This record gives sequence, C-alpha cells and structure tokens, in this order.
Amino acid sequence: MIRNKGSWWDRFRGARPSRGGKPRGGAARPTPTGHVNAPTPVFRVGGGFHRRAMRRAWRQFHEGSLSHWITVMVIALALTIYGAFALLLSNANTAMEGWRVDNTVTIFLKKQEDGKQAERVKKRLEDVAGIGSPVVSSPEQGMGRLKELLGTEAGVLDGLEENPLPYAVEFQLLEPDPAKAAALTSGIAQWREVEAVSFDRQWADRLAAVVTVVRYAGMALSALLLSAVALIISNTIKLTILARREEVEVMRFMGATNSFIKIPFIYEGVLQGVLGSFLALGLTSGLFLGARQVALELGRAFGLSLPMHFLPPLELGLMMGLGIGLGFLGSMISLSRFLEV
Amino acid sequence: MIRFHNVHLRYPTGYEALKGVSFTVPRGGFHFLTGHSGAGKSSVLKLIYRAELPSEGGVVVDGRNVERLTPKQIPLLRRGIGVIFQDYKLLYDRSVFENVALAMEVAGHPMDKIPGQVQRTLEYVGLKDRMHLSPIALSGGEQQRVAIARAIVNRPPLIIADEPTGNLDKPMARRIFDLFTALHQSGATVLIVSHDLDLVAELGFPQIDMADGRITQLPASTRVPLTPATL
Repeated sequence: MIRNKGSWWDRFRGARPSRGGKPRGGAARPTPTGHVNAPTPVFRVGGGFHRRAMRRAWRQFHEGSLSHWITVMVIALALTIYGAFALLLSNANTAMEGWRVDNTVTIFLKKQEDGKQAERVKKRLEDVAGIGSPVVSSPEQGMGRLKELLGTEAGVLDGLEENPLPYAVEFQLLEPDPAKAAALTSGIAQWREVEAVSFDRQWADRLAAVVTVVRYAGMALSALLLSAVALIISNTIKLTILARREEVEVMRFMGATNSFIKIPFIYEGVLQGVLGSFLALGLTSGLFLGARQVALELGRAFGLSLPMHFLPPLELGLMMGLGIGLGFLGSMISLSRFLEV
Repeated sequence: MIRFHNVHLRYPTGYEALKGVSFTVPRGGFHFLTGHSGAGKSSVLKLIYRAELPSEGGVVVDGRNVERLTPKQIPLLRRGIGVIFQDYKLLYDRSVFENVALAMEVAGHPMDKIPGQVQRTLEYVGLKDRMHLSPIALSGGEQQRVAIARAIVNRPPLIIADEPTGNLDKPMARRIFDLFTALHQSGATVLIVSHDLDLVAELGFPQIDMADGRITQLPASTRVPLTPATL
C-alpha cells in the first residue's frame, strides 16, 4: 500500500540522534540484511506463517496452562466414553457374528410320535421355504449326544429306566431376517406333532437388538458429550481471546491480517483436541486391558472363550479426528463470537 | 503523503470530533499537530491509520483514499505507518525484544531476518542492552523508545505519534524529539500530536493548530489546493 523506498533507514543508520535536532548525518549504506531497497513486505501464507502461528498457539496454551489442561482432560474423558462405547460395540458385534453362524433349529416331537411320524415332519419341512437339510434324530441318538455333552457326568443318566427323549428333527434356518426367522419357528411350533422348538439364534438376535439400542444410546450420549466439549473448548478460547485483546488490538494497528490473528487461536483449539485425543487413546487402552483381563478370568471360571480385540485403526482415526474436529469447532465458535478483526 | 479534505468525524454518540478539517502533509515532511485536549488531534491520527472512517470528506494516505480500501488492503496500509501511541500499548508479558519483533512478524518478514533488524533498531534508540527485560522494568522514557523502535523497525515511510512525550520530563521529551528529528532527516514523513508548545516552537517544524474539531492555524506548506478530484 504505502511504498517503502527503503532509503531513509540507511540515512537514519548513519544519522545518530543528537541534541538540537541536528543529526550528524552520514552516507546511505546498505544494511547487512540487504533490505536497502526492499519493498514493503507482502504477507505470505507459507511455512513460516504456520510455524509462527503454531509457536504463538503453544505460547498461548502454555500461558493459560490450568484452564487449558482442564479442557484437555474434559476432551479426553468425553472421547474415552465414546471410545468405551466403540470398544463394547465392536467386541459385541464380533461375538454375535460368531453366534450367528450356528443357525441350527431343533424341533422336539411329542413323546407319542414315532419314527414314521418324524419322517413325515421331515418331508413337510423340506417344502417350507427358508429351511435347509432337515435331519431326523432318534431318542437313542439324542441320548448319545447328551451323554457326550455331559462327559464325565454322563453316569447320572444311567439311573433312567427308559429314554425320556422324543424324536427330534434338526434343520438349518436359511432366513437371515431375525423377525421372519422368529415367525417361521413360531409357525412350526404350532404344528400338531411338535412339542417344543429350540432355536439358539433367537438369543443372538435378541442380543443384537439390545446392542442396537446400546449403539443408538451410545451415539446420542457421545453426541451430547462431544457438543458439550465443543462449547467448553469455545469457552477456553474465549478466555484466551479476552486475555489477549490488547495484543490483538496492537497487532491490528501494526497491520496484522485476519489470518495472522485468528489462526493461532484455531491451532490452540486443535492442540487441545490433539492432546485430549492422545490422552483418551491412553485411557481407552487402559480400559481395554482391564476389560480383557476380566474377560479372561470370567472365561476361565465358566469354561468359555471370550476373545476381545482393541479398536480397529479406522475407529482410532475417527477418535483422533473427533478430537481435532472438536478443537477446531470450539475455536471457530469463539472466533466468530468474540474476535472481530 | 497525507491529505485531509473537508473531513468530518461524528461518533455514534453524536459527538462531532472533526468539523471540516483540510490539510496536507507532503512526503518527507515533519509536522506537529497541536491543540488543547479534545481538539480532535487524536481523531486525525485514527483516520490516518484507519481506526476510524470519516463521516464526510476524504482522507488520502500515500495516494489512496482510506475509505475505498478493501478489508485485505487495510493491513497493508497499516504496515506502511509507524504508529506511536500515547500510552505506548506495549505488551508487558513480553520482553522488549519480543515487542519490537512482533511488528516484523506481523509484517511477514522472514524469521531469520528479525533478530538482527530488531537489535539494530534497539541499538539506535539506545536500548540494546535492555532488550531482554520486560517493558514494565523500564522508565517512561525507555518505554516510549521501545514504542518508537516498534514503530520504525519495519522502516515505514510514514510515522505518526500521539503525544509521544506526554508523560515524560523535559530532558527525556527532548531526547525523544531528537529521535524523531533524526528519522525525519533520514527521509521519513513524520506527524506528531503534541501539546508541548515550547518544545514544538523550539524545533521549528510546521505546526497545524486545532481547536474544537477545526483547524485554526495552517502553515503555508500544508495549504496545498485540494479538490474532490484529487481524492
């Protein structure tokens, strides 16, 4: 804007101030920086700009230490709650995938039904859509499997005078939709020959429904928490802006651009988000290790296998992104409300 | 360098700080703006660095009407003006060096050029040995010199100062004016608001007197004919 000829500086350098306003004078000579005829610098948004902005952001963060660290802790806690939900849901999903593989349905016929009746039921099942490979299981076969299942405890069955088990027909349920599968098995349960229907997948489907509810509840809770975090970050940045309003005013009159003034505040918010995310990552890892230990001990006690896995990389990236995004959002809210440049 | 053409400045409260002010400060000139408190001197300076906009009339700085500047051009205008405030406006949580360096950072100078330039500037205002202190540890005169160093470190072609010696004793005021004189001798255009009439008269530079928002005395050098076409 104002053209800087660059010449008076050299004359000034050779003209040390003296009393009476009579400078001693001196010939113009180039400055060691080579700025003699340099034009008024044009602000460039380059590496130097962002390095300075980051340095100022760090300085602002450091100077407002306690409030900033409290904000970092709040971000970390909110993201940890999000991470805990993600961990729970991710492991529940994996467990359910395993359970869903077992789509075997067993129908137990009434005690008076014989093998011929069982074969008729089998043929009838073959005509029903969504059902695959029905197999008849005699009471003897059923007893054999029961003994196998009881293992060393199978001796308790030796006291029975007669085999109490009825004929059974097993088949694979091909229907993937839980509601349709439930309707199908309920319909079969109404058949005259059928005493009971055993379908393990129903439990998996019920669990899946519960997990879905937990998922939505987790999403709603996380959304509420994360919104609160954005407002907390915004408040911290507001305090920084208010604490630095004199500096901002001075910079404005020196010719600072909007970017020069605003970007350090944005970096400051993002820095809080990044630190909060890393802390949340550590806390979530701690939770995972604790939960895995509990699962191992439970598994050992009940003879179950409860494998657990940590969050997949995509989920971890999302967590970090959320932290950074919240920092950015909080800064932008404050800047738009409290910093007019 | 600076042209005011029939400038009026009314604040939202209705107070009219300037009432038809016209004058010109040529490039390389050294002028004093004098007058009693409330005469409108500081308002004139605020219009120059575009902290305020005229309600009527035109203000031209270095050939550009400040009213017509786009938001992106305003920082460029301000980088070409070294402003020295009566209350110094120094940052007391930073060292003397950092206060001066901030002006160079704002102007986008390369990081590696800043320390040398800041040290040279502080040397010229006689504060090199105090550059690591906080301004709060300095006397009023020294703080004023830090403010001057900050204003000139980017070598702006125009230097404006609002009562730069208002809080200083006579010898220190004299020393500060010597510094401005040296800057002027080096080619900078200087406009200083001052109420120290004795010192102003002693230095002998042209003097624009103001009273009640109007110019009451204008030296011949500032009476350059103006028309709206020149704005």
